[in-house]
Amino acid sequence: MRILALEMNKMQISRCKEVRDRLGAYVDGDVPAAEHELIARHLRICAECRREEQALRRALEALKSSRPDGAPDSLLARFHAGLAEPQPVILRVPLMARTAVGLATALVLITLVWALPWRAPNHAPITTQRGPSTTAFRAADAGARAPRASSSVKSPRLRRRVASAAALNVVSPHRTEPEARSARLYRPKRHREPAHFLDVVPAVGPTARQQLAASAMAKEASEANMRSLTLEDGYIPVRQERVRVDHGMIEIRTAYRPGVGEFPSAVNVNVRAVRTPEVDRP
Amino acid sequence: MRAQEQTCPLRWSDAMSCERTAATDADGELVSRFLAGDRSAFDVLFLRHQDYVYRIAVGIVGDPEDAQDVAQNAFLQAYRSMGSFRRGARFATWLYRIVVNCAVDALRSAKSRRAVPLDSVARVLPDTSGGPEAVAERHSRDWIVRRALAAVPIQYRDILVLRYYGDLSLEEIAEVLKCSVPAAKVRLHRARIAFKERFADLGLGDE
Repeated sequence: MRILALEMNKMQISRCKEVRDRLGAYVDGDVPAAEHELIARHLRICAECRREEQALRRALEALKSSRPDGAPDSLLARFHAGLAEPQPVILRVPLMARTAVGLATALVLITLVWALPWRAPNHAPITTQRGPSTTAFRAADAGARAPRASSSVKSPRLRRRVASAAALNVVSPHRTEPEARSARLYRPKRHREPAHFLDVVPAVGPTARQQLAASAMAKEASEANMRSLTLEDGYIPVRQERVRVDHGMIEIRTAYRPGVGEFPSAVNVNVRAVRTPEVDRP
Repeated sequence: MRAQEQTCPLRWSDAMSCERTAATDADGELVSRFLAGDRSAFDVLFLRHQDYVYRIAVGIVGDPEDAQDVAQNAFLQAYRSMGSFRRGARFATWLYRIVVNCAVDALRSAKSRRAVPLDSVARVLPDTSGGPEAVAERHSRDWIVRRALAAVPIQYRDILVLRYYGDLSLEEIAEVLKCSVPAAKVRLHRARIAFKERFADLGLGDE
């Protein structure tokens, strides 16, 4: 007997759900006659569904009766006034053109990202206004070693090279031109960890001694294949900002892995440019 | 069976179908005249549909001033894109789709996000029959209805407005909203429930 009561209860719940799903259409009078009669019969015996139906009927009748009146008379005049106004010109670019522009932009962006120097922190991009030759690099090294004694170079050809290297303001981080070329072509793999960059500048204005030290650093870095360099006294690491020095700038971009320490003692260096100073002249 | 059919109340769609068929034919003729170069035919179309368009706009955006803007924009858009109107389609459903889109766009703009002022509701309802008390009661009830309607999510509000302010059948609603008739039926059911709950929350559901 109890099982039967439970089953009847289940059937009742199921019937209630069916009825409630159709109550809106029932209230709108939008159900077939047979279904209408079934729902009405259920509502007579189910107080819960009846309450639901009454609440829905009240709400929908209020909604119908709150229907706004017609449009104001001025609407047609407004429409004509709107027609008289100049239509805004909307440029419609064809889909093909938009796609082409998008692809070209993406290509340019990819190329830029690929070519940026920060992508290769271990790699030394050579500052070249005109692509100095091997001799120019050697001359620059020679000039950096003995800035006052560039006249001591015996060969007139080499002397001209020294002068042109000084004009170009370059210091060779590489020993030979093929090395430089390969360095230019060499693209190291992207670091998994994000690299942090530091700019290292002299503590005071660049003197000949500091220029020499910078040159030595570049040389050392070159010999060490740009892997490591110990920071020397007199150089201040400045985080994430570029410091301009009056009489030329020595910019050494360094990269280190975060979390090792505030300023690591040994860092990877990337010599970008060392300008030959116009100092120490009598 | 016949006796049972006679006891059944008049169905919504049946009540509207005859009137709509005639209206659709007349709209088709007017559209043809307009496309043939008779610009005045659009004025006739405008006058035939302006009340429905305005009601739908008011129902969705709430504010009568904004609704006038929406109606104007919808008619302008319809006028300018009449060349893309597919022959054989119903002009009314095409126009109502434009109105719904314009109203939803207006709602999304910052201007239409402000609250509906009380006096704006009064301006929509100029009916003054029954004396001041009846007018006040009606305004109060309508204000609550508007509040409840504004609280209903937009995807349910548009279908409620199309159904109860625009007098559209389920088939026409499906055409306007670009969905199937069963989908429109389900959406309308949920919309009714949502409105009933909001209406009850505002205190008029349990009289």
